[in-house]
Amino acid sequence: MIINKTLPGYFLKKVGFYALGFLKTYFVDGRYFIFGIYQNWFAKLEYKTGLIVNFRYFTIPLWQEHSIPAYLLSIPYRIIKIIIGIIILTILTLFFGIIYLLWFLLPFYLIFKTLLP
Amino acid sequence: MNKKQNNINKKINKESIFVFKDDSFFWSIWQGFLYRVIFNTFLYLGLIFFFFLLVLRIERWYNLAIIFFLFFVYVFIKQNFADLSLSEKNLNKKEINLAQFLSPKAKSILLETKNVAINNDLSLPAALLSILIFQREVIESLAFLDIFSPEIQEMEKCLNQEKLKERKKISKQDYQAFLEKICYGAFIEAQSLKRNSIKTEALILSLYLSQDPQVISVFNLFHLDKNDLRTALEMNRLYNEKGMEVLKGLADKKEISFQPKRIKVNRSFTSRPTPFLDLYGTDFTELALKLKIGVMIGHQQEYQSLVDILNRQGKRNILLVGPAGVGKDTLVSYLALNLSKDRIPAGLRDYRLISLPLSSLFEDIQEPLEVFNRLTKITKELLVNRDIVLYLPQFHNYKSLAQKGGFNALDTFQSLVNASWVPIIAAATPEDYRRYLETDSIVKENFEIIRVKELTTEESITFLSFRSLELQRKTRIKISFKAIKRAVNLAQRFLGSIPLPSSAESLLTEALEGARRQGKKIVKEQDIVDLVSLKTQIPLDISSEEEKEKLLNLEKLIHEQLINQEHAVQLVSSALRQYRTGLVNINKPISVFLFVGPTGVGKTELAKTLAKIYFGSEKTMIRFDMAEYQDKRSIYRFIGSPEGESGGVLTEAVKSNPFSLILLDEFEKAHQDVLNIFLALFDEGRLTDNIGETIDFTNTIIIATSNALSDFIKDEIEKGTEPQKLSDVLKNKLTNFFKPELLNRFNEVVVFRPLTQEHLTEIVKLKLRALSESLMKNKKIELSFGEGVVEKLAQLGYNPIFGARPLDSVIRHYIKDNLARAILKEKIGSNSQIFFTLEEGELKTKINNI
Repeated sequence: MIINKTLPGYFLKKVGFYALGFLKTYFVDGRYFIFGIYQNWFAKLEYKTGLIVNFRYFTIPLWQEHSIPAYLLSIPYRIIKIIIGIIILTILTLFFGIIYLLWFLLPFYLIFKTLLP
Repeated sequence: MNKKQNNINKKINKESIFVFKDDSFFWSIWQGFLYRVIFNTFLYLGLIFFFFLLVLRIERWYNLAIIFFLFFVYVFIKQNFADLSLSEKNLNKKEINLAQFLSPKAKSILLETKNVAINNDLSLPAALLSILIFQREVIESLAFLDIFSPEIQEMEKCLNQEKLKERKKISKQDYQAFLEKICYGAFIEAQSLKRNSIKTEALILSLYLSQDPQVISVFNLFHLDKNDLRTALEMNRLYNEKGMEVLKGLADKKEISFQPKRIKVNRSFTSRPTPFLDLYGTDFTELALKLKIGVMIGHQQEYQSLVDILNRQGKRNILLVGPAGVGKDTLVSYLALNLSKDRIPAGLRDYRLISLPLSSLFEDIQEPLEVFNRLTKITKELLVNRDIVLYLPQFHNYKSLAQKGGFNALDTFQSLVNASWVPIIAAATPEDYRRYLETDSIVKENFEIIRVKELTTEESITFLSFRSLELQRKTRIKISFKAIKRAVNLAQRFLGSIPLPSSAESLLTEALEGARRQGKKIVKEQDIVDLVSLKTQIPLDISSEEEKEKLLNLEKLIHEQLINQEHAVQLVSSALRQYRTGLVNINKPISVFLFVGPTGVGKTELAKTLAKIYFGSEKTMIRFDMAEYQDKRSIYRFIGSPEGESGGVLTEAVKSNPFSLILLDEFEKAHQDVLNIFLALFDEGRLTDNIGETIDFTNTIIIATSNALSDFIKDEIEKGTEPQKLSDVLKNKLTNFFKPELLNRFNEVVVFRPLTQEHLTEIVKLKLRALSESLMKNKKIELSFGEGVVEKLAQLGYNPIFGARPLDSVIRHYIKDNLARAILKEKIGSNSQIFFTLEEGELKTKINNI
């Protein structure tokens, strides 16, 4: 007999496996994908803005010139750099947060639109 | 299988059980076909249906069609990948189904294996190998091991030759057991190759675990080592990978295109601007960021010491000492890369690493002393900075550059060296360090020495495997892995004066250039062997049939020119055969012989004959009459004068001709101190000359001759003592002439037997034949000898004390002199025939002019 009992079962199992895989890829791997891009951009922008180094060297004057004018100049300078860094990185985080939210909600929206046109 | 995983990969749960579950493997051909029809119909119908729904924009179903269309696209793509990837989340399970990690190609190969095994009466592993060797990626990878299409066809023949004796039906259990075993092995291999599924490469590697005799014998026959094959597979993958950054070093750095000038400081603005330093120095941290320099293989220990010293309190100056090309720049560029990536202890974060070669300070200079002004300005800039690591390559130049008044450039740096907040990394070769820096007080007191060692053979092979990919991309010529391995081994052995991997890399680049010239597409192992043979004049490979014949019949060839002394001839021939087939100890000379026996028995003659037959000419023999080296100072004639004014005759001769025969005539007559230099030479095959260069003697045959104890030898031979026994007794007695440790270093002490009247007759024949041939060749004069002439000459030349030595004088007197007179009197000329006869005990000549 050409068709044995395992063949249809195997086919259905395979389709089920792909259906689960599709959901997992969309929701889980999709999240990792977006988060990966976010991490990459975050590291690049953090490097450019020098957020962490400005925190670390907050009390050290610019060019290590230990004089009152240098301190007067360096503290506002570092505060501005830190604020700019925080703003840029916050915008980036929000942007990717929204992207992921849209990504997550898109299938539900499409189903909802189909059921309640 | 229920095999538990242990210590193979940390990703896998230690309690995991491995199984192989996939019903489709046990279906008949028809069932498999039917399944594919059903599945493909489902897939393509689904794709087309939802595609049309999307295109036609049917209200209400349009949104759902997007989801389903995406699902079918997902299935379409997923078909080309394994069900699951080898990622941590898929491996951290109690039961791992190996079938789910198979790539579609690997799956179809395993399905085909069963049919091939049944149709060709092969074992399942052999059938699998016979399919795998024709897969594109395996063919390409095998080319990296110098295995090409003809060899692959040969492999298939070998596999099909040894068919199973009895046609065996492959049961379901056999096939299941095979799949479990192979897939488990492939699963481990795929993990070690860092693949995300089980592919063809992992399958072929898993065959090594199968222990199938047929498969293993094919691997052995074609010298397919598992590690080599793994590297070849990896190299092929990297070679085909597009857009991948391979190894880049400082040598690859491109000229940076013009950029507007800007103030260079670190990210936290804690370092001060250094415009003068920026003008003459190179910012390695910036280069590391832009050009991705700084890949390092090996040197981990040295790097760790470098970081530890830079990160400690107090003085942090380092002097890297290592031969040119050993990797000092690589170490520093790796540090630059880590500085730019913040992969460095907190104390060093946000530092800039700036290289300042002295040569750069000479740019656009009018007056040499201006360099000192520039250095002073740079020092001032550096002294007010706390976030700069200064790199000074070829540090000895700073010491050797002196100005009027006795100051050198290093003195200008004195204040900088003393300042603990500016770490300096300097670099010098061992020779320059010894010559200029070792005794310098600034260096002694302020610098910590780190010796940069040569890469090991394995590290060099890894380094060059990556490096070769870069070279291959530039030249579009492949370099086989076997060529890389051989280049490293031969460079280490024959180009020892240059460290690895530079020496091997230069061999590869030279071979690449040769291949490009000849229009070749790949550099093979043989190309490297030929190149090294050419460069060193050492024959490394028996490439011609003629040479094989010569080696196999060496004794016969020698005996055509040398009578008697079978034992000595056999020993010398055997040594040469062993050397040429690679069976000798590579850390010693090919062989060291001491020939002892009375004068005129053929000791020197044997060396000459060997040189003529095998080394091309008698002139290639390096000959020393040791009686000329009887005083203590004559040692310098051998190895060169201590002042370095003249080179040594022995060391220079071997340096220019490493594959040679060295004859040390009358060895016992040399001064004891001279003999002492041969102790190390005989033992290690190396000798250091007057300028400290090590000369390699491992490709030389050394023959020392001695007339010592001649009478004793003659008496013992007359008594009938066996040669081996005599040799042993002789060794003890020779301690009166040579130190026991020197005698022990000879491979053999060979006793030469005195010559008898019969031997002399044979020698006369040889000499007369040589004379006849020479006359015919040069003057077209035919020379022949009547009955009794040879015996008469042998009788005249026989002297038990001098051996065969008087023979030359007898032939000169009775034959050559007569010939010379006849030529001068113009009795004979071209085409004359001269016949020597013996009449009433006297030698007479008859001339016949044609």
